Amino acid sequence: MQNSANTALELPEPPLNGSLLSRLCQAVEGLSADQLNWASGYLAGLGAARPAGPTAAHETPVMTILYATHGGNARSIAEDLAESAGRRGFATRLASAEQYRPRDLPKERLLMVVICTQGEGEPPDSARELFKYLNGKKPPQLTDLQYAIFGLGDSSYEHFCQAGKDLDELLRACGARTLVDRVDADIDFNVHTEEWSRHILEKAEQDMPADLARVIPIQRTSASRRYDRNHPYRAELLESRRITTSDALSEVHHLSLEIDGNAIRYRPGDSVGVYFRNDPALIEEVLCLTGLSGDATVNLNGDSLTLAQALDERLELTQLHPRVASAWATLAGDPELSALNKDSDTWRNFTGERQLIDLLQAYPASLEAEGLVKLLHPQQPRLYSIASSQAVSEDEIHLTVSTLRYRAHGRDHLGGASGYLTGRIAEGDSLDIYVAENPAFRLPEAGDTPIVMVGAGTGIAPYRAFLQERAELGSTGRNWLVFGNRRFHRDFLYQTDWLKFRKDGLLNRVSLAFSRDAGDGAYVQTRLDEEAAELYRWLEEGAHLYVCGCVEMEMAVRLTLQKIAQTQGSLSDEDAAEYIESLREQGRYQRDVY
Amino acid sequence: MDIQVNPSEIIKANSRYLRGTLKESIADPVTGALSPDDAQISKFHGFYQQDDRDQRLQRQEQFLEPYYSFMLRARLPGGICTPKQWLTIDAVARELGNGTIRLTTRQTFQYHGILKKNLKPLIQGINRAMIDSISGCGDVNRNVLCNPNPEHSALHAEVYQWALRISEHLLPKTRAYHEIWLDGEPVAGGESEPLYGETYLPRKFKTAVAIPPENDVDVYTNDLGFVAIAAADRLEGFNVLAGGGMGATHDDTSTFPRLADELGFIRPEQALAVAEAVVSVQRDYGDRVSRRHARLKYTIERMGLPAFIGEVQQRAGLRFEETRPVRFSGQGDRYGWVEDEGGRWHLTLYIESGRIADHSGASLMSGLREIAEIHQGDFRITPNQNLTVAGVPEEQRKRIEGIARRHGLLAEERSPTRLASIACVALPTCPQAMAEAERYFPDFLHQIEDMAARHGIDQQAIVMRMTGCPNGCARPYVAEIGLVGKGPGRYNLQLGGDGIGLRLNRLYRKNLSEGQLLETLDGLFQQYAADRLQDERFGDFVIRSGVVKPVIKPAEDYHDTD
Repeated sequence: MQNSANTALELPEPPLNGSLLSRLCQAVEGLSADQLNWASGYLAGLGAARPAGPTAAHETPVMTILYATHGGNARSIAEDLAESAGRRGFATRLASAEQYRPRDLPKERLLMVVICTQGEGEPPDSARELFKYLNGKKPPQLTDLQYAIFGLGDSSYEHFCQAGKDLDELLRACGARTLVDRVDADIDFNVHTEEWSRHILEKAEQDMPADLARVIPIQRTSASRRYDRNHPYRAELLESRRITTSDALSEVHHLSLEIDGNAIRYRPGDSVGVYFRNDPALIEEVLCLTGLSGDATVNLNGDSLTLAQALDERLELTQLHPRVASAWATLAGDPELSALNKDSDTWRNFTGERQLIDLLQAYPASLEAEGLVKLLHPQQPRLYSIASSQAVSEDEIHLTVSTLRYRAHGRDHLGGASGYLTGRIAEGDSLDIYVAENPAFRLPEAGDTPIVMVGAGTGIAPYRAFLQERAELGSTGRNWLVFGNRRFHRDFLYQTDWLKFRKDGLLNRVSLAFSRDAGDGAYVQTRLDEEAAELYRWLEEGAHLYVCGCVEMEMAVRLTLQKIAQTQGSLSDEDAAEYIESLREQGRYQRDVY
Repeated sequence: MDIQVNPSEIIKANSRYLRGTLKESIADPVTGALSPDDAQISKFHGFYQQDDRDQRLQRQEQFLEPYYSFMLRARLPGGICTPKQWLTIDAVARELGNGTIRLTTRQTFQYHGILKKNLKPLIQGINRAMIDSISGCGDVNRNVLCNPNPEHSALHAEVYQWALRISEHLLPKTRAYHEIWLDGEPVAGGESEPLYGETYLPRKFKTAVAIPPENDVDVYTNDLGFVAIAAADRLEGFNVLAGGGMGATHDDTSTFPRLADELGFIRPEQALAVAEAVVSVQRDYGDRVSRRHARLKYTIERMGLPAFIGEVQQRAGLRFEETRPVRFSGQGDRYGWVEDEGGRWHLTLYIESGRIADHSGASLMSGLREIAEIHQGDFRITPNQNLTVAGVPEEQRKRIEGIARRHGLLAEERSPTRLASIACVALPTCPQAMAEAERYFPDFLHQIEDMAARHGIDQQAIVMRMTGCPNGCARPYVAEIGLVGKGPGRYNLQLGGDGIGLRLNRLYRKNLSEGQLLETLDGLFQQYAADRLQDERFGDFVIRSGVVKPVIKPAEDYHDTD
């Protein structure tokens, strides 16, 4: 028998900890054994190529860059800043807001935050913990902290860039100082990011002792080439088919895009941003109404092209932004229109229910080609939840697209992107896309955690990805799908997939609500209500709940949930609200709303 | 010991006397279908799972399951119902079915397009009119036929009672139907099935009662037949027949249609015992491994007729007397007005393909409803998918005829061949269909009529029957011209029936397209027109002239080809 050593083995401090380690874990989640092996070799190679720097980075002030993203924009900006900072010799730490431990704040010296604002002025779900911490009873002392905020928002909403403004207030209240002034960027944020970045780095360099600068390489969590909103990936359309019946009210298509699985990685819960080309009929009409020629040469961000080309691919012709409408109102000089423009709420409502073409038709104005191009916004890519798991379809991205079609103001309207995706591209055509990560809508880390997936209409798309992934990984957690649409026979999206998952034992419970079917007429929240006891049981057992669909539907579901917590848990109004709140904090109530 | 048995036997045995998991299947909202086992068990309850085959492929591409719906077939012995019942039948079709009523070749009616969630309300709906669908389908005795025979009303009434009794006697005794659909109390102390046992019969079982000289029920095509023998309009007894059956499988010479053998004569009061005995012999000796060989006809071929008769006599506790002589005159319906011995009138209407619906050509459904609202007699569904308004007093004749004419229900101006011919449902709902029947036959007949006119034989009725598959639900094997579906747009051509239902026809040409069918028939019509004897039927002509050999003993000679 050997003598056991009495002295404890002293292990050196691992070079990867905290956020770096969690980033690495995130990057390798879902990889097979073979893939992990390959990755370890790859990293070893990377390491060999880089100079080993001294690790005493704790003496150098680290610039922490946080992003709270919705659709990937904030993340892109944060990453670009991190890269620039790294090249300038800063030690940086890049993290998504929900990965960041708020308790680390007092240790920070330099904090850059890129933050989106959601519809009602709230921060993205990923930043909730951070906000809660700063709003708490004992806010930290941050007098040593210098920060800068880049806020992303959309002035067609009422609470423009509110999250950024709130964060600014909160940090200031804790004694922190701004490095540079906060930026409240609208949807054309691209024009501001470089300047903000430069401004920050200049000021940060000024304040930093020169001899302590170090070059520390940045680890990227993705493949060497990163595709994003500004550098989209060209994907080919493999197939597109309509999956609602011809007599269904809604027109929904299932699309399959081809990607190189090495270049593009996505996870269940992510969306893709899609760039599209405008409807030729619409372009024709715009030209007609403005009296302009499509052949006119125009200048767009340094590119020289024809007006027709610009209208086709580069400019936003469907969604009408209040600022664009204002610019048009000035040109039109119509007294009625100008009157509406005086009050921002009125104006927001007015533009919210119109497309550009409605404005052009009702309030004519004359302008030159260059004028039109300057007036219009650049095309806004549209986001669609991914309906496939890359674990199953390595080289494909599946989308579920509903064609937006409606009649208003005396004419037919067609969605810009949806009209393109379901009506104007053919199999074999290519389109520009990028993966917009959605860190706030993820399967639980533990495969044996039960999940409840609530979706209406095309909101069911990410759940197809969830279940495909769970099936492939052999996750044992129980799965419950709650789905609502109009009619069982016409728009039960992906019915045969759910039947197969159920038959295979993966999908344990399915609750359905078809609002136009005789004898049903219910919505998803009705079903939740009816199955309250069962739902509460699942939640008590640790289930994660997901809601995907339109804003109104999520609100109705949340209210129902609260009611259920009250009745099933015998809780007061307040305690029930707290119960839901705590689910959100634990990351067990996640939503993807649009 | 290795006991091999058809999987359907296991399903029946495990079903706890036809309960299965029907309740759960009905309640499952995620699919419009029943579980596979329940889809077998449901047949005994009278309904059949179907899907719209026209939409199948497209829905598959749309990630949608087939468009499932159900066909329900009522039990209506002898096809008789009251006008009041008819109004309920009509209302239920419009509310819970696809808005049509389909009269069948076994004198009952079917609903199509019933959604799963509406099955229970529908069954409760017809139950309120005292109609059930027990053993409409499945491995049991099916609807008992009885010729509507309006002329001899007194005799008909007596014989009809026997048809009713036989139907009741051969009903499954399980309470499953009542429990599941009518919210009946579960039976305490277990259940049994004294006649059928827990695996019921190996296959379907068809019983018919005929009143000569009409053979519209095609009595010889049934597993069990009772031919009423009367003297001076009083029922003396029945000739008993056994072992008829229409089904066959394409290109399988071990399967064949067959006409029933005569067993002998019995007194009326012996009918139930005989029925029970025949059923029990089939229950015990029928093939439970291969369903295509499971009908009684094959059982008798295997046992040999003498052994079969012996077994039946022993179980029934009787000896058959000698078969009485019988004369049959035809297998079609007699349209229009017929007066019975009591001075009451009966009007047989023509319902194309038995499909009652309102459409631009004719408002059959509204018309029947209107008649039902004033009629004081009864309705009788005929074995040719038509309907007789029976028991009309003299003073109501004109009114009823007026309504019928207005709604296109009369047979007037239709060709004799069309009036003698029928087709089964086939597409889009029947899962067995290989080719069209109901949807195509009326148009096909136009071409036949033109052809007949060209050859000057358009006044001659030729019994033509079209089916979508070789199961033969529309009895194509006893037609003068049988068209049996083989594939999309393709039919086997059978020739040689006698127009009375006493002779099987024979396969003449295989797998013909429409063009080939018409060409072939054109040639035959030409021959017939030129060489027929006076009043000779087409089916008799093709036999006499040697176009096809008659089928004498199908087990031996049905598949003989020249």
